[in-house]
Parts: sequence; structure tokens; C-alpha cells
Amino acid sequence: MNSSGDIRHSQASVSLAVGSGQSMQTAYSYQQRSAKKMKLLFAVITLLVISVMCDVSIGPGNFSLETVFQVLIDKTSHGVQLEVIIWDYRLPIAITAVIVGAMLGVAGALMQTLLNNPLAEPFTLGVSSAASFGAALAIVTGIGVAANVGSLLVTLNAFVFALATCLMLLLLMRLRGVGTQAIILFGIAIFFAFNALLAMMEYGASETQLQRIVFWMLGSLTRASWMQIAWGASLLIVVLPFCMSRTWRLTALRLGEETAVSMGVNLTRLRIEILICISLLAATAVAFVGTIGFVGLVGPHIARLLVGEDQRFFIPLSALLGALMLSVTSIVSKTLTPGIIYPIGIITSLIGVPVFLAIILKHARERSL
Amino acid sequence: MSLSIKNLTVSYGSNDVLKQLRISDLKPGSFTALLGPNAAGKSTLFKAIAGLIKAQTAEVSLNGEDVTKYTRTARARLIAYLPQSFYTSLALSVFESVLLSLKQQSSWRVKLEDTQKVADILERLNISRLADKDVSELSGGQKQLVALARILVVEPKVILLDEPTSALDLHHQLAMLTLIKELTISREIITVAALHDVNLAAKFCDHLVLLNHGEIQAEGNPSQVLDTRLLGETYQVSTSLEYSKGGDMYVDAKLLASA
Repeated sequence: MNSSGDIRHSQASVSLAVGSGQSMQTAYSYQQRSAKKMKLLFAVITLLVISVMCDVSIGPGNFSLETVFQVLIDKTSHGVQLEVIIWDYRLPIAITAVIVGAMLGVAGALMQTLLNNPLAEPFTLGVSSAASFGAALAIVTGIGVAANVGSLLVTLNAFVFALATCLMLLLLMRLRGVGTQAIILFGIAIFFAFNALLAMMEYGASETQLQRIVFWMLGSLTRASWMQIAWGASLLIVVLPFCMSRTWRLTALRLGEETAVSMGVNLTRLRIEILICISLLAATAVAFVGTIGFVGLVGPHIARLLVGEDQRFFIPLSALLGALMLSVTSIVSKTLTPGIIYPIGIITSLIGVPVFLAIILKHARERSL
Repeated sequence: MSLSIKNLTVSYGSNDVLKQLRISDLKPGSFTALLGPNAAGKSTLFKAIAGLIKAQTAEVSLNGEDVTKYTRTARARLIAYLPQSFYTSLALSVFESVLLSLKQQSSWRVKLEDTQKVADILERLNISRLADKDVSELSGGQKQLVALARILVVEPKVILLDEPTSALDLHHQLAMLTLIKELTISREIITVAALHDVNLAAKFCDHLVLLNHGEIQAEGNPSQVLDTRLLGETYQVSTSLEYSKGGDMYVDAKLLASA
């Protein structure tokens, strides 16, 4: 690209009238590209709906999509057995996959934007490790953040520890002179610290407890319930529109902190608002299904390659791709070996890594052409 | 309409970076160069005027109105600041990055009027053909033009440019300053640019401000400020003034023997 030509020509174009054919064409071209991005969002929504339907229809007993559709419309249309299987067992799992995937996708996208680092996500910044430790603490010692909550103790502990870690990151961010690099390093330190504490817990655990910890950490959708779905969906309904109302400011942040401030962005306020959103999303996701490390990293990465960093498209696409990834993973986890449901955390990485590498390599090749 | 800067003091801890600074009123269509060695306080002055940092004392007014009374966004639209920093890795198109300046408080939707404004400024700077390209794919000169488009699209009254030619070769420096001067006059903007090249400053700017250790050493037209003794003391060099056949003034500088 010859930049000298641009400036030289610009001098000659001083007297150009505004709103000429060229500028109208430029504006039209932008609108066309925005329309394409909208179409892409709707295409992913369609894929997601198909994936959820497949997720519900596939299992130890396969049902046709038509049957699933009928039972979803009218619970009793195919008898009590199908009603129970679909409404009480499979649908909660399928919807939890979508909700948790969306949460992880958005949390990863926001973290990457806020910290200006494509490797930032709840897993790499120690949030998942903190949640795992919280869960292990409840499993091994029974020590928790609340009394008399029964089986919810593990989930609550995981949630509170994850939230506390995010809030620690927030406090650090509030300290004067602490940059994004320091926050990432702090996150990595948290990751190692909680992993060490977790190992200590595992060392002192009984065989049954150890089994529970490992199972919890592998990530599983089988703990899904309508109560979790209600809580997760409510959170998304509040957090997503809030984040969408901040998309211009977040995009401005991608131009650099100083530039964003020079454009009128209240950086401190934006950081606090967004980190609170990240905290709630990440803590809830990890408390619901355990450690699922790849979705928050890959969802946003693929979204960035597809629609760039205009956060108006980047955030919803990250959410949709996160949801799609986890929904497809849920299907694969059931179909890999008939009769066995693999922990979803294993499958996300097994499917995600090759897909991720293929996308990166393809993108790198296109760029070098 | 004029920009008035008086009694401006900025301190970092106990270190006064700007000391009771006062600059004569700057008028629309004027192109002022802010000169001074590294760490003289040039960037701090810009940030204080633009409201990016808090000044200990400041009387900055635009057309008689205290700028601190404006909201962040209103102030950003009146006084546009172009920092030195460059974005390296960014999946944002030129069009999107310029559009951002118009959209800070607006809704999710993009108005047709805004897209037309962006398209117009890109055409005005003759970078329409770069509209779909990612900003990070551009050359240094192109990035500077995009950054300029980004601050001009909001039609500010004042533009503060922190070393707008620092990443450019000689040709691009001349072209960029020519363009800024044209826009300053045609749009009646108050332009202040931090420049390192005193000769380019003298060639393009009608007003020079020489800053050192947070204090104004001199200000006025080029012949008033480009004083050999003053420049020598400020930059710690030995200088002499020369004149071209056309009457243009040039500063020739040498390192001091002891340096």
C-alpha cells in the first residue's frame, strides 16, 4: 500500500464537495458489510436452534426431530415417558449448554477486550481454578459459604470463590498505576495459587471425595436443572443488554486507553462495570458446570475473525458461538460412545483445539497471500 | 471564538510538570506549534487541555466558557486530542474506527447521517479506498490520516496533535502538515501540534510556543521564537539561523562541544 499517494492525493482533493458519489458508495459499502454481519448472527442463531433440537433428540433412545418438536409444543403428545425424558432430562441439559456457552463466550470476549489480550478468559485468569478450589473445599471439608444448603454447597462455594477472584482483579484494577499486564500476571498468579491449594485438598481427600472433585472439575452438564436455567437466563437477560449498551465505548477501548479517554470514555467506570459483568457470568458458568476452559477463548477468537472487533457484533457473536460450541459438544459427548456421556470439559478441548488451530492456520495463510 | 489557557499547573506527586502556564489566546484558523525538548511537558499540556488528566490549577476556556463545565463527551467533541500511541493489532476497519468518534453516547443503531459524515471525511482526506481495510494493516502515514479523520469527523473547534509527524518520512511530514494547515484554515479550527522539527514548525505554523521544564520559554511568530540563544539553551545545542533565497528561516543545530 502506497501511503504517499494517499496524502498527495488528499491535497488535491481539498475542494471536493461532501456527499459525492464516492462517499455515498463508501457509506453504502459499510451498510452492506453491517447487513452481512447481521445475517451471520441470524445464521448462527439458526444453527444453534438446530443444534439444540439435535441435542434433545439424541441420547440413549434417539427420537426424531419431529417427535421432539411435537413434545416441545405439547408435553403430553407422546406419553409421560417422553415428556419426562425430554422436559425433565434432556431439555435442561441442552438449554444449560446454550446458557453456559453464551456466558463463557461473553465473559471471554469482554475480558479480552478489557485487558487487550487475546489469551484472557476466565480459565486463564484463575477464575476457574478458584471455583474448583471452592468446590473441593466443600466436597472434602464441608466448609462452605452457607449452612444448611445441602448439595448446593459445592455450587455456592464455587460461585463465591470465582466471584471473589474476579473482585480481586477488580480491586487491583482500581489501584492507581496498575496496568492491564499486571492484572494478567496477577490472574496467572491466582491460577497457580489456587491450583496448589486444590492439589492440597486432593491430597487429603478420600477416594470418593477425590472422585467427586475430579468429576466436578471435568465439567458436566448432567447437573442441569430448571432452577439453574432460570437463574442463568435471568443473569444473561440483565447482563447482555447492559454490555450491548456499552459496545461503542468498548470498541473505543480497542483503539487504546488514551484514545478512548480522549474520545470521552470514562475508563474507570467502564472497567468496573464490565468486570462486574464478567465476574457474574464467569462465576455462574463455572459454578453450574465446572471447569470448561476452551469456550471463553475460542468463541471470541472465531467471532473476531468473522466480524472483527466492532463490539456490537463481536459480543453477541461470541455469545452465540460459545453457546453453539457447548451445544455441539453436548451432542458429541453423548454420541462418541453409545451409552456413555463423557464430561463436557474433555470434549470441548478435544473438538475445540483442532478447530481452533485450523482456523488460525487458515487465517494466517490468507493474510500471507 | 478563541482558546484561552491561563494559570495551568499540573503536578505528579511533588514534581510540577507544568508551572502556572499561560498561553496567549489562540484564534480559529491558527496553527500553533508546541516546541520543546523531550519531557518538556508537551503531552501533559495537551492532556490537561483535553481533560485527560486533572490539573492542580487551570483556567482553560473556549470562547469565554470554562471547558471543565462540559461533560466528557461534549469536551471531547469540542477539543479533539490525537495521542501519539498507535494501535498495532486491531480487527477494526478504517470506517468503523472513524465512526466510533460519532457514536460514544448513541444507540446501537448507526444513523445514515453518521455513515455519510464518516464517508465524507474519508473522501475529504482521500482515503475512501481504505474504508474496508483493517486499521492494523495500514502504513504509518495511512494510520495518521485515519487518526486525523477520526478526530475531524466530530467537527471539533480545537485539535491537539501530539507529534503527528513522528512516524513519517520527510515527504509524508510535509504532506501531513500541508493538509493540517489547509484544514485548519478551511474549517477555522484552532490547531496546536507538538513538533520536534523547528524548521517544519517555522514553515507551517503562524504561532510557536517553546516549552521547557514545564514553563513557557517564548511564544510568538517564528521570527520571535527562533532565537539562537533561546533555542541553544532550551535544546542544549549550538544553533545558527540561516535564510533561503526565498526568505525562509532555517535553524542549523550542532551538538555542543562538551556534549
